[in-house]
Amino acid sequence: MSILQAVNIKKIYKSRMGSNQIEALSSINFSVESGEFVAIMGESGSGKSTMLNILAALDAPTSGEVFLDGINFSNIKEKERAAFRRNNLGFVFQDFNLLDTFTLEDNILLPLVLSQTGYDEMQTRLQPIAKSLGILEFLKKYPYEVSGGQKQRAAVARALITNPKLLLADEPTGALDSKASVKLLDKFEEINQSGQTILMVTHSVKAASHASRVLFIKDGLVYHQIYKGDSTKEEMYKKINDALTSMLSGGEDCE
Amino acid sequence: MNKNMYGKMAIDNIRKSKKLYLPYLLTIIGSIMFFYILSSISANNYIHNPATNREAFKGAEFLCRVLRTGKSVTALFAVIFLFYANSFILKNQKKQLGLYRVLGMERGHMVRLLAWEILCLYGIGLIGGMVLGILFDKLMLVFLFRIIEQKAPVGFYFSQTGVINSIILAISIAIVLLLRSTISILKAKDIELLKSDQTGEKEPKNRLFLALSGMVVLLIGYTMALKINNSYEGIMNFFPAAFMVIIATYILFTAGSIVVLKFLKKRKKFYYTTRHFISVSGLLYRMKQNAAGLATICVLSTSAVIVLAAGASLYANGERSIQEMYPREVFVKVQGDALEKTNQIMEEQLTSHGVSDEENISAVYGTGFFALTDTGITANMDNYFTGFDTMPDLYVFTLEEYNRIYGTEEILGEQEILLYSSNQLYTKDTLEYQGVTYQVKGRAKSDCLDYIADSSMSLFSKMILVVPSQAVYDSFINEKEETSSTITYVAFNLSGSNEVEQEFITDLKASFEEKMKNSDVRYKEDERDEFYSMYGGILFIGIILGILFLMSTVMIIYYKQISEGYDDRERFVIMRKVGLSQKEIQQTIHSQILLVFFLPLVTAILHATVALKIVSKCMGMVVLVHMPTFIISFLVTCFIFSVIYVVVYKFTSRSYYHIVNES
Repeated sequence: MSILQAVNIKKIYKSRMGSNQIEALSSINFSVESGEFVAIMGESGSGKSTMLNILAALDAPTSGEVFLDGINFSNIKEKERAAFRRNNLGFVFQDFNLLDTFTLEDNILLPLVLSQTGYDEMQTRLQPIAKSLGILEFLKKYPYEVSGGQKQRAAVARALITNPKLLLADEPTGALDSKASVKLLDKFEEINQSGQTILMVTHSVKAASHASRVLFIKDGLVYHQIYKGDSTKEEMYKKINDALTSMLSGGEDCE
Repeated sequence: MNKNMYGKMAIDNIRKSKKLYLPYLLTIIGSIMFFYILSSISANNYIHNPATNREAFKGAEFLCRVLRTGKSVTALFAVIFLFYANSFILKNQKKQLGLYRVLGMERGHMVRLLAWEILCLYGIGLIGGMVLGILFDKLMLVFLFRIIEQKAPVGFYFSQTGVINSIILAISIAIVLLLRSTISILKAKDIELLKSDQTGEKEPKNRLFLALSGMVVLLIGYTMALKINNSYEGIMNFFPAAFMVIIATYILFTAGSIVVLKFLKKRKKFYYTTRHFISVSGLLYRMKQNAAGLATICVLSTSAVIVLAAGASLYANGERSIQEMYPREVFVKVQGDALEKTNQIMEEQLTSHGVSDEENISAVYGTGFFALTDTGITANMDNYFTGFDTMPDLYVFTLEEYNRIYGTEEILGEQEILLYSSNQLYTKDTLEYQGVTYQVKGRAKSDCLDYIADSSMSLFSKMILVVPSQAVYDSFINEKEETSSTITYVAFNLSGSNEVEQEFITDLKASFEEKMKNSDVRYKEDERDEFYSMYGGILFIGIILGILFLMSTVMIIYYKQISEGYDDRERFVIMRKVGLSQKEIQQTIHSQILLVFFLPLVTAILHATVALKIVSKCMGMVVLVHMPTFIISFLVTCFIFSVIYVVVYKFTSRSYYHIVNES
């Protein structure tokens, strides 16, 4: 059963005067099955971020529809949108987006506080997640007191604590060194294996090679996709690389 | 390279960051304007010409002196406020200069750029302030003359002194600020310049001990302000108490707020709710950065409220004070027992001017310095400056004189007296003086105090003694000693036209001066002029200072709002991503700002309320304070001040929302 469906998404930005139109997404169609780990790749300017914003209900498409678990985004009222996002989606950002006025613990608990969960319930949910992400001992620290990897794991914990239907990750390894990146991606795989659906936008072939499926976006369209199937991470890495190479050379032909 | 590149850059900077520079510029303009107006009026030859010593009305010279003091105070506060505003600007400038530095600008160039910026700001400020000053000068003069109940002079007046003074003030402030900015820029490391607005924020420490001592200091200050009995104690305690309350305000705003917030944070069930979670943690940081600024707003607001309330009540109570001091239109006070001679001189002048006296009252009495003892009084003067409680103003009447004044037929035995004392000062049945014990036979009527023009007002407690004979009187009042004397007092109303009265007074004064030594003749109309120029002048300065305080408060609030807006923007962007709706964001912002900006106002009103008593006692040193008038003036001032504060808050919080919601 598909948990996320994007149908014919189109996004056009108008310049301030209204004379220039820029088509960020021309027609995006894809779906994500429950329990999948999907990576989306593309050059900068290919429309990745625009798409992620639309999938996160932070931005509305010019036309087309997004369904999450059968619910159409455009049917949700502005008022309920924040609650919807909070209860159904988890976010991990490239620059962590942790609040420096909160300890890691409070940062993780923030979405629960917003949905008015009781304090005891918060703690029961926090403990296993913090433990599995290996940040139990840093919970009382402030973001500026811990490393980038620890920050990002706290951000993952914050994304997961609401038990979201879909975890959206935007270049989650972008600000991490290679060691911390590998550790985070292994965590992602682990979470995925326990049944969490993940959608990750990335530049990194290495990051994408952890996914079960990779979508390539180019010029506002889904250009190509690769399934991991039974192949190993190394084989997947090579497949992705090849796909990127052909996409890039193809791109040059176009221009 | 274009020679004037720095000038162009400076103007560009100012124009591009209007939000930052405009309030600063307005503060400069406002300060210069008020400074110009005060210098202009105080140096106005029409009001008082120092060369010829000609006064436009009685008390004009004093008025000019009050205005000159006000001018200096204005200059002082202008320097403080502009310094404060400049630190906000400097913080912003540093970041920009950091970027220029990375692009290869030398420090010398930066200083030149800064110099140009200051030159532009103060140039515009000076010209703007002087133009507005010259325009409003006349208006303020008319306003001042209305307050002091005089006819304003006609014509437009341009003050050379005002212009020169304003230029000197603007240049000196500009130079001081340039020096300060230069030092700050030269001292800073490049990386600090670039990141001066994002230095790592540590959670503030919990300083329970400091907070508690702040509380103690505040209570001591409050107690000092409340536990006073008379004007003397009031004056003695005023500055220490004010100092303590100011210190305590700063401590409690900085350390106390953190202690309270930390306590709230520890209460998990309270803290982990949508409403409190973001507010408490946000406030914790906000208070750390802003406590000093908020405490400053609080102290300024308190001073503004007190100054305005005091000035307004003095003024509103003017007619009553004059009435108390001058129960009749004219009074004559002569040293010695000289009622007959006084009346004779008076009659001469009355007849020659064809006016008649009405409601004539007169009294001959003795007064001097006495101190209370356990059993009576003594002429001992040792405790004059410390024992205000035991130093009554003593008035001695012979029985004969007492009966004459009141038309009574009281009889006293050899060692019997009548006694009156204000404030329950002396309640015993006997009074010992120089080894003789007098029996208090009854209570003396006190309304003869009304006949005695008394300059010390409510400063001292008062006692009236009515003694049986001249011999006893002489034992109290001995002309040979300098500590006591007999005074003859005559007061009366006049019937006649104003001009005739004026002539009569002039001649009466001359006549008394010629024939009696130590005489004092006063005419109520003249005294009223003097009174109004004195208290009207003080009120006028109070209003100008009040406006200046308010202006600075507005400026500080504004800068707090925008600097916080920029700090908070990022936080709210993140919260939006995590799933906080626009409405919830607005609510959190609202409750946070509300608390932060109304805390100083509420505290200020509390401080001012506590200060009511001590302020009224201090005022009592120089003028009669009518408590109901004072309290009404206070309430009205608080109300007006709060309204303006709320308006300012509404106005500036709009720019805050605007900044936070910019995506």
